[in-house]
Amino acid sequence: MGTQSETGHRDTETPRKKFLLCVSVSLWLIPLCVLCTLCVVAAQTTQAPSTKLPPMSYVCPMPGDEEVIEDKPGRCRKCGMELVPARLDSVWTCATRPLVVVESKPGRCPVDGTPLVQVTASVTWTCADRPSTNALQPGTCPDGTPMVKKYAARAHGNHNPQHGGQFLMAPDNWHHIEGAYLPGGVFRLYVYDDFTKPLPLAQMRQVSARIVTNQRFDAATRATKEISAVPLVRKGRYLEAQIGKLPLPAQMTAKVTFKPKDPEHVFDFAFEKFSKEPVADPRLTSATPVEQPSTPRPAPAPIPDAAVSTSSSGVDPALVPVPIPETVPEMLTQLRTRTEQIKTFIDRGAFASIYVPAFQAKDLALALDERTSQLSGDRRKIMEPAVARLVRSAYLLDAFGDLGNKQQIVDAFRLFSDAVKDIEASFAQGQPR
Amino acid sequence: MSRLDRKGRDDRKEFSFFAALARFAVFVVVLGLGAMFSSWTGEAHKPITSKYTYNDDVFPILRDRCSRCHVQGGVAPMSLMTYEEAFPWAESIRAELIAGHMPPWNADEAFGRIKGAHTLSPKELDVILTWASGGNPRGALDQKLPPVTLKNDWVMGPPDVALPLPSEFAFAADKMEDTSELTIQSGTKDVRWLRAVDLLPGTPSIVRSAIIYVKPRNDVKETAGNTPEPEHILARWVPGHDPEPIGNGLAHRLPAGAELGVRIHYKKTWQFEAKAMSDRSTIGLYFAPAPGAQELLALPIASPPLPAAGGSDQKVAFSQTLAEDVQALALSPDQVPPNITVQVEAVRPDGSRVPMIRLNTRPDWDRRYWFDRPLALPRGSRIEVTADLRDPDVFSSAFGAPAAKANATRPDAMRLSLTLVPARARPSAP
Repeated sequence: MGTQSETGHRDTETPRKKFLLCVSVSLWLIPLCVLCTLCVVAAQTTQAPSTKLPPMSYVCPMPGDEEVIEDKPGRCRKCGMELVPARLDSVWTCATRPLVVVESKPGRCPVDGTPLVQVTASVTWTCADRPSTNALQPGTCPDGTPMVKKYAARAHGNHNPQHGGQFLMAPDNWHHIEGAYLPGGVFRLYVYDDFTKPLPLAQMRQVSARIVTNQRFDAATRATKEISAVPLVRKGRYLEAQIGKLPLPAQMTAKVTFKPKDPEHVFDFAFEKFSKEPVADPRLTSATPVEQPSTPRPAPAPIPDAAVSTSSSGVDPALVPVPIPETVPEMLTQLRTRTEQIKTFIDRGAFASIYVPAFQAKDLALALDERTSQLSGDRRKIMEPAVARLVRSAYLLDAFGDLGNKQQIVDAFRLFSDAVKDIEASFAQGQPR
Repeated sequence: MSRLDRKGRDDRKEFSFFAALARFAVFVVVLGLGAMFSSWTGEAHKPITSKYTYNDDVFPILRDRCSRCHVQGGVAPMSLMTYEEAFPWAESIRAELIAGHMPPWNADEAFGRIKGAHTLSPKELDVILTWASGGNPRGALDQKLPPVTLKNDWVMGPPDVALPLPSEFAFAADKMEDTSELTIQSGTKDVRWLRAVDLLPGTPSIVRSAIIYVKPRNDVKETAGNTPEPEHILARWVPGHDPEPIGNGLAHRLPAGAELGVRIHYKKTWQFEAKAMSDRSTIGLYFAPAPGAQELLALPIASPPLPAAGGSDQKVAFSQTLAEDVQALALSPDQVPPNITVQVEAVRPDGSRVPMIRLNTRPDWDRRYWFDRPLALPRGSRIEVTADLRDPDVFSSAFGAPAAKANATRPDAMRLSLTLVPARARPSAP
């Protein structure tokens, strides 16, 4: 509700006049609240577009329970601690320097020219001489200067690679890893915590891992036989191994144990090209976020090969409803296209993108389920459970996509494509099965 | 205020009096219009992406599909009948639905046709999953939902004979699970024919499953080979399950003066941990319309010894050949390891295959699966069972659920039982 605009520009005189008018009216007519309300509403409405703050959330302060975010005060549903208020915002920042540069829309990093990535951060207002100040709305510092906006990282707020590699989350929901395949034929593994902060050295020393470049999966016994595997050796803040130059796209699997007695986690990577560490442009090495280059820098690095990019509005593409075609054959065609898309993403190792076509296919299947009146009783009996299996396996693909274990994703995709086949069979011409 | 700062200190002095008044005015207004104010400036705080709300979309499904267990006093560990009760479990609900654990129906609907499937429709599944993973919105705050209370009565109406268990079962405070095995005298003087047998729990929150059977007389030998014997298991009861009354002139035969065995599995949820509990359930007998019913028989299908858990070969196949023409009615997993996949198919002498059932054997949910229609199988048909002893639950194993623990309790061999009647009625002894 502050009057400071996001851009820092001073607004025109009109809102201030309204404000003055409001004050004088309220002086005379305080008992007549209704009129005053209208006045406040008018003033707020006029100013709203430029003064909107990120919404207030209530978050769990317990380390490890940061994913608990509620819309009202109360207790943490995981640990029972009192929730604390926070403003969370979705912003765009440099992949290599999270939250040093902060933009409200996509663009390029002014420091190294790479595309900005979207992260969730908490927003507070602070004073330059009192950095411990963390106000939830803008205000004035004791020295009379306006408070400045500050962004801080949130747990799971940033799932973007920091070194040009591929980023995955471990099933423990806390560790995150990034694998990079460098042009010299070196595989490098970075390990982060839930805030995407590099793991402290003491914890990094406990991590053991190997990189498997060739393995065979026996479907009958469900056992995997490693044919060539190289242990990853710690080099300061990361682990690495020379695996040589494999033909691209190169598939490999990192098998990682975060602590000596922990279970081993499997992370599958598919590199379509060598990973390129984002390099700062020597002309733009200033880490200060305020100064922007006067001319936009031409894009030096290609956009990372994200299979599905977030739409320019910042809206998650999976949440945009897929337009449902009119006829059943068109729906079936679209369903097939989405299924092929998932397969392509799996083959390319773009696991984090799988959920988009999976959820779109789910919506198409649910729309087909509403057309079952065209089907005979026997076919309906195939159709309904098949759609239910498709819904379930779409959510399964969504859950596994974040983990990046290819075998799990392939298993889930088998359930998914079996369900698609049954749906197609129910609508196929001729006799039901 | 920052605008005032930018304007300069003189201006700030000039405005401070008005600002104080304005603040007071705003305060008065805020007090008077709290509700309106909050709804006006408020917006979705949490990343709510679900278009479905608990009040409008989720509650009706949970009430219709889950309220026999997930209600205050029910056997489930939590009620889901109010928003406050349901939303802390949203993540568990999501996991249980994705893994296919809930609702508890172990038969795969894509294989064979089974009566009374207890499942969610695709749309219902999607509504709950969308809500559970999309911020769990409640809906209108002032919306009052009808209260849902535990229903504990006879699903088929009052039975012809109600037999309370002879004594109360004492469930000790230090135990979380227990089994009681009791005998009841049926008190029948003549042979009676039963179309259904049901159980009414005395304390619904702890009665987890039950088997009601006719106790064999001492002179009767164990069934062996491929000769069907009278079906002595009258009911396999699980919570929320509807008894399946038998019709078409078929019935269970209850010998005169028969003794009924009742084996009840009791389990406490965390709410009753360290509390002493008790139960006295009642058995209900429903008589078939007299007279001249055809008796249900059971044919055992037993496996060779199962391979040890963890070995490379985890598949088992075995079969049973029918010695006469039959109508197959139902299949019961009498003894199967938990968390495995079992598929049963009939192969007729002409080579045609009839899918019967495919089960993911979740523990605690053994029931008798009645085929949608009786399956006519001629003499010489083979009932083929293939089992994959590995846990099919890819979701739980990926997220570290302790599935392997259940598989550690693997029995030496598997046994299923096919409920059938001969195609040509046998003369039955009175």
